[in-house]
Amino acid sequence: MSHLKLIRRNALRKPLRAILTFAAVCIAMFVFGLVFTFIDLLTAGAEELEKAPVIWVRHKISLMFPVPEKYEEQIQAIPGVATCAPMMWTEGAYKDPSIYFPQFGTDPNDVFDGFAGVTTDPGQLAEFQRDLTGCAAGKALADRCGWRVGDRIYLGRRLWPVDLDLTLRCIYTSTKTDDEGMLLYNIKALQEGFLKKTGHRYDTVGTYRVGVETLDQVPAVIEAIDGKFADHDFPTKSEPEAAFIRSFISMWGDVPGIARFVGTVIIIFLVLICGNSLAMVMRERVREVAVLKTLGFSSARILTVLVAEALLVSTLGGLCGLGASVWVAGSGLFDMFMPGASMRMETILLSAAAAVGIGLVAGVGPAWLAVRAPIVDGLRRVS
Amino acid sequence: MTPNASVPSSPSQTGDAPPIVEVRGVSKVYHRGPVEISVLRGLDLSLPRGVFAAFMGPSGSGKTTLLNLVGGLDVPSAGAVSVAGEILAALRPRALAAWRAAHVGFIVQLYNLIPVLTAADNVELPLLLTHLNRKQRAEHVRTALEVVGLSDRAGHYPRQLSGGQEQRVAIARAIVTDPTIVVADEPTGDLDAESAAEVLTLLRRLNQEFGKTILMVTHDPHAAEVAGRVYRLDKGRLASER
Ligand SMILES: Nc1ncnc2c1ncn2[C@@H]1O[C@H](COP(=O)(O)OP(=O)(O)OP(=O)(O)O)[C@@H](O)[C@H]1O
Ligand SMILES: [Mg+2]
Repeated sequence: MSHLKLIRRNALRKPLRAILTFAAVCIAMFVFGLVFTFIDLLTAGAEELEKAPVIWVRHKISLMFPVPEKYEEQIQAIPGVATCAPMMWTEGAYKDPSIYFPQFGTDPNDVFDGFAGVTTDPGQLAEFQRDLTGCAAGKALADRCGWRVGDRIYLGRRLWPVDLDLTLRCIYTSTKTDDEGMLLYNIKALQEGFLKKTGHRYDTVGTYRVGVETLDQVPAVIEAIDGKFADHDFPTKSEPEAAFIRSFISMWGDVPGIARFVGTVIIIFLVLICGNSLAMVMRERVREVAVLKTLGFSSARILTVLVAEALLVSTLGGLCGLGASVWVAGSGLFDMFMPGASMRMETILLSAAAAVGIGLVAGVGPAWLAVRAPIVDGLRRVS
Repeated sequence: MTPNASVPSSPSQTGDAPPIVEVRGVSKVYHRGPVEISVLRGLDLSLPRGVFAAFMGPSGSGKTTLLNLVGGLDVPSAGAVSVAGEILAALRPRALAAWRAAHVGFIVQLYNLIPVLTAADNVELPLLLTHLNRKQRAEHVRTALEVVGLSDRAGHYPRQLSGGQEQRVAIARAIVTDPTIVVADEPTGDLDAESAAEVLTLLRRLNQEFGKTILMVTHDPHAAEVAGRVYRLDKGRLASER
């Protein structure tokens, strides 16, 4: 017999109730962990991006509309612009449908210029630039798919009526893991396939990624680009890279904001559910608390025992849910956003703290009510 | 055998020894909203060590209130209660709790035990507040259960025990810390005659063999007969004394 045994026995007094509370915390913390991992992924590296002198140019109305291919030269002519590479988002079918990765048709000669954090092998890059059907992949992606330089990568038609039969020429590394998850190929391969297939030349691209000489030139360059095309059939909207990524994410609405809201609601919900169940538990215990007091247990000691009971259930439930979400997050759920994603340690600690906090917040109130009642009143209470 | 025949009364006690329980001019007023309920009115009581005192009286006469004051569960509105020389009103709640742990064994009428703990664990509860180690605690628990004749029920839960057995476990728990006084509020109130007799025999043994000071509230005249002294409470005063 020990205090711990008393706490354990109390917690398991009504097994069904204990299991339901445990399950509620477990499931909620599972969702909480995934939601916050998702937020992490969406907002990762945002600060780093703010410092990159990079602009993305897209159609003024929406990312869904393309911009003309001939803009490339005109953008390149603007003072302050160092490089300009088309970025054409396609989604060919890879042989293993469980592996998702973003694919961009681009200009191999420009794409890596001013690409912050990216390192390429000059020999491999030259091969990528030379081979029309060559492609480059980030190291994380190559590792995941088991690719080596020289491997053939076949991307079947899906959004585009074109099959791409590519050869991996270059594996680049990046200080940012999500940049390592892309596959880049020569946009000409796509355009030629399209021409062969349809008899039409496809002369627009999705977006341009523009490298600017210095960070302080970025606003002026943005103004120059958008001013230049304002009266054209295809007006543009240019944004610094960080803003562009944010607007890309917010194509589906304010996802991080909604996710954060959902996470917060989960926690409040849990506190209420657990608090309610604990309030019921503690009301039934008023007499027992009085008996413990007659034995000489101080209020502080009883309060500790009761709160520890709440903590035991919420922490165990929380850790189980958290364990499950760490596992799920690391097993490919988020590959679409970031290959090889896993839950950050900060998020794990935040979730664990939330689980403990739920037990504390939900437990203290009801326990205090039970402990506060005068002994003589508690003893008169016949449960 | 009637409880009466099976439970001879203890020898009468003399008042020569220094008092262990001293109640001086104690009043207790409860406030229920604007209404004041005056329960005890200037009560005096002095009990020597080793006495077995029974308190009788009509319902609502303040028996429980008096016992709670002596046991340090409540504080008087006026007057002073001292037990073994300690003036209880001078203690702060935390110190009072510690004092109870060391000096008082409580037995109440019903639901004394924690239902999720075995008999042995229930008896061990007050020992958690002492410096005894696990082995010493187990030793004390075994002895206490032996005294109440329930060694074979150590691993039983309260719901597996009869009402009388439950009360005997409560008695074992009340004496396991070797308290200065044992306080029992209608310990046989909810028991059949036979179980009540068992409990009373036990209390009498504790008093006579182990020299425990016992204060017991009861409605049962048979129960009162076991006690060395009987006090009668009426309308907040100690009305008669035997
Ligand atoms: N905490 C309290 N608040 C208000 N009134 C109380 C409180 N405790 C007791 N009383 C009142 O004080 C009076 C005496 O109560 P007490 O429990 O001491 O009587 P008793 O002699 O033990 O009665 P019984 O034989 O029914 O147990 C009763 O009228 C009761 O209603
Ligand atoms: Mg009473």
